[in-house]
Parts: sequence; C-alpha cells; structure tokens
Amino acid sequence: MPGVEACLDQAMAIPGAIGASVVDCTTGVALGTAGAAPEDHEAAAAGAAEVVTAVTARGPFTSALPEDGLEDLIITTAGGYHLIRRLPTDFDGRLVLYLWLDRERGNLAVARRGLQDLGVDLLTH
Amino acid sequence: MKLGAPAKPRQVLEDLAGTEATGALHIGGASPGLLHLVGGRVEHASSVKVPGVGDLLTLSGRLPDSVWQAAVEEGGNDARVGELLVGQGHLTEGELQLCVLSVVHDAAYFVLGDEPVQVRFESDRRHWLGPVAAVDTGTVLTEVDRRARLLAEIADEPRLDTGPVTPTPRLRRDRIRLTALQWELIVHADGRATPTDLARRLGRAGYACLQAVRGLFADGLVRVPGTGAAIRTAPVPPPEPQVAVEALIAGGAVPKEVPRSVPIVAPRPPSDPPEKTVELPHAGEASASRGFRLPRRKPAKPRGDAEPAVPPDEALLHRLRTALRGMT
Repeated sequence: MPGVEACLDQAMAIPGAIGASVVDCTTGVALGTAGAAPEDHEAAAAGAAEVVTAVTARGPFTSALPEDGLEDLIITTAGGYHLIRRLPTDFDGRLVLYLWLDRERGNLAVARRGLQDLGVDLLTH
Repeated sequence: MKLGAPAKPRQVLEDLAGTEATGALHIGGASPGLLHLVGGRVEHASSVKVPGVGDLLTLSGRLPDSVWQAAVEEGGNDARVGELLVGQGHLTEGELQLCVLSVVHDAAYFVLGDEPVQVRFESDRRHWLGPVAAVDTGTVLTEVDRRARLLAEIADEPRLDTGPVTPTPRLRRDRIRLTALQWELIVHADGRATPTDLARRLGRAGYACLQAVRGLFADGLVRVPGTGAAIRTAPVPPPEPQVAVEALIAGGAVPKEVPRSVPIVAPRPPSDPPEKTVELPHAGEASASRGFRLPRRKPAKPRGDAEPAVPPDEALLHRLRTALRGMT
C-alpha cells in the first residue's frame, strides 16, 4: 500500500525512466513528482492534462460504451516515450500517472505494464 | 491574530507561509473556509462551497458512512482519522493522499479570493484528519490563478458560477456531446441549485462543476441564470382515441387479417373516477368487463391481465364496424 511518493519512486525504477508524476487533469496540476520532466514538471502536467482532455472530452477515440474508458496514452518521439496512465479513483478524481522514458534504455511494453501495476497498487488494497 | 480589519486571504496566506506558521487560517466572506498550515505549507483546506474528503469518499460509495463516522469519532480528537482509515485497511495511503490533495486545490480556489474578507489565524491548531500530504503555498496560489484563467478561457461568464444551473430548454441542432459530469449536472439541475450546490449534493469536485457548466454554456446547453424567455409549454391534452383510430383506418394501416381477439381499448382520460366496485370476474364474463371490443365470431379466451373498463363510444363503434365490414 504505497503512498504517492513511494509509487513515484517505483516508477523511477522502471528501466529507462527519466521522470514521473501524478497529475490532476481537472487543470493539469502535478500532485506529486519525481525525477526530471520535459521543460519542467508544471509544463509536463499541463500538457498531459491537455492530451487526456482532448481524447476523453473532445476526441472520438473513447467510445460511448460503458466500461470502455481511456486506459493509457502513449506518445513516442525520436528520443523518448511518454506514457500517460489513467488512475481510476472511486472518489471524484481525474488523475493520471505520467512517465517519461528514455527511448534507448526503455522498453515500451515493460514500462506500460509496470505503470499499470503501480496504478493498481496505489489505489487498491 | 484576532479577527481584525478585512484582509485579502491570499496576502495573509503568503505572510504566514513566509514565517513557516502552523495553525488554522479561518477565512470569512461569501465563501468561508479554513486552511490548515504546517510549517507554512498547506496541509488541508475546506470550503463551505465544495465537498470535503469525507463527502467525496462516502458519496462516491468508496467508504460506507458508518466507517467514516467511526473513524472520525475515534480519531477526531487526536488527529488520527486518516491514520485509522489507512491502518484498518479501508483506504490505501495513496488514495487518501490524492483525495486530500484534490480537496486542497478545490477548496483553495473558493476561499482564496481577491476580495478583502475577515480572516483569523489560530496558531498551532491541527486538522482532525491528521498529516496526510502538504502542498507548498506558492503551488496552491499558482493553481488558484490558473484555475481562474482556465474558467475564463472556456467562457468568460462568472454569473454561471453563482446562479442556478439553467439548461437551455430547446436546442436548434440535431445532436450534442456531453462529458459524464455535464450529464450529471444537467440531470440534477432543478432550477435552484448552483454548480457548487450540485457539487456538494453529488460528491463532485466544486471547481470541476464550474468548469463543466462553463463548457455547457460555451456549447449553448445552459444559459446565464435569469436571462432568456422560458419555453412556451402547453398543458398535456387528453388523449383523443377517435382521431387515432380514424387515422389508423384512413391510412390503411389496419391489416387485412384483423386479429379478432386483440381488443382495441380506448384509453381512459386520467380524470375519470376510479371504479367504485370491484368484482372478481369469472371466466366467461372476464372479457366483457374489460372494455370495448370488436365484434367477434368466436368467443375469445379470457385475458389474464386487467385493463380498465371504458364506456363504449357509440359513434366510434359504428364507424369502426362500418370500416371493418368494408374490408372483409
């Protein structure tokens, strides 16, 4: 049962991790951060929230079917991977885990799976 | 510090953060609330306008009311409520932290206004939930400003925040798109509740509700409270069975093979008095007591379900009989 800080420490232990944060997508504020971020954590959080909102509220990518909500978003660049994983809270949270990964050292599938497990650990018993 | 001349809460907060103060800052004004500081950082925040940690956890169904109440009663006096909930396995530490942090930003937006209000600082007073998480005062204030800016970007109409949520009665378009929160707000809008009333009622973050309502306004789905004419509505007219049946026959919609055993029952106007006597029908009479039917060649089996008895309309009966005769 880790807290936010322990969860982010574990995220940083994922191979290739450069930085991680928990972001409230209501406005794009970081509630916890670890490591580095593109530009800074504030900008990364705001950017992650923008992308999530574009997909969930404006884009046609999440269907209207029940239980078919967003799970994660992956942005790949020449130098890195950016993983955004939704944290499904029971209380009224609009939260995501954000992980910045080095492209050379990171493995996308491993990181995605790791982030998924961290999200589960953070919110369930 | 005692209740003194009105001051800007954010200025007071900055001063307290500068001295790394610990205690509770009571903020008055139109949306009163409390900020709990520890070493100049914000540990808890609450506002009368938004749901608190307990509201979010219980209204969402995450915790039963009894569990929350028991923890507050047992640990409230020595600030161990959070510790008990996590220690007893009702919540994870992460969940509680994230919930508290969300509430801090949500409540701070409502209590840290620009208007001078009565403020009072109570030194060393700690929050009953206990230490869970803390946010730098600078981060809190930056976020308050950002929240105000984001609302104005969606729709610069602050009257939406404080007046009743007023859905547009008729839309001149074919289709609309809503978020789940917007749907919830529209469903529960009763013409009186403001966005924050609904937030507290539904256990949704207050600022998120402001945001959702501004978005609804930008899409033309709600209007500024007190503006625009109400849509004209007529009282619901009583049903007109004759017209309906005539239209059916005139339109040729009656099938050639009329299902003889299917009754055509004229709906009874809702104002009819209820039946005075109730008799248990026996098999042979059951159908007769269930209203007007077309003439039949074979006696139909009695129907099991009850239908209201309706006095036959002689003129309608005649027209129907004539029409059906013409078809066979």
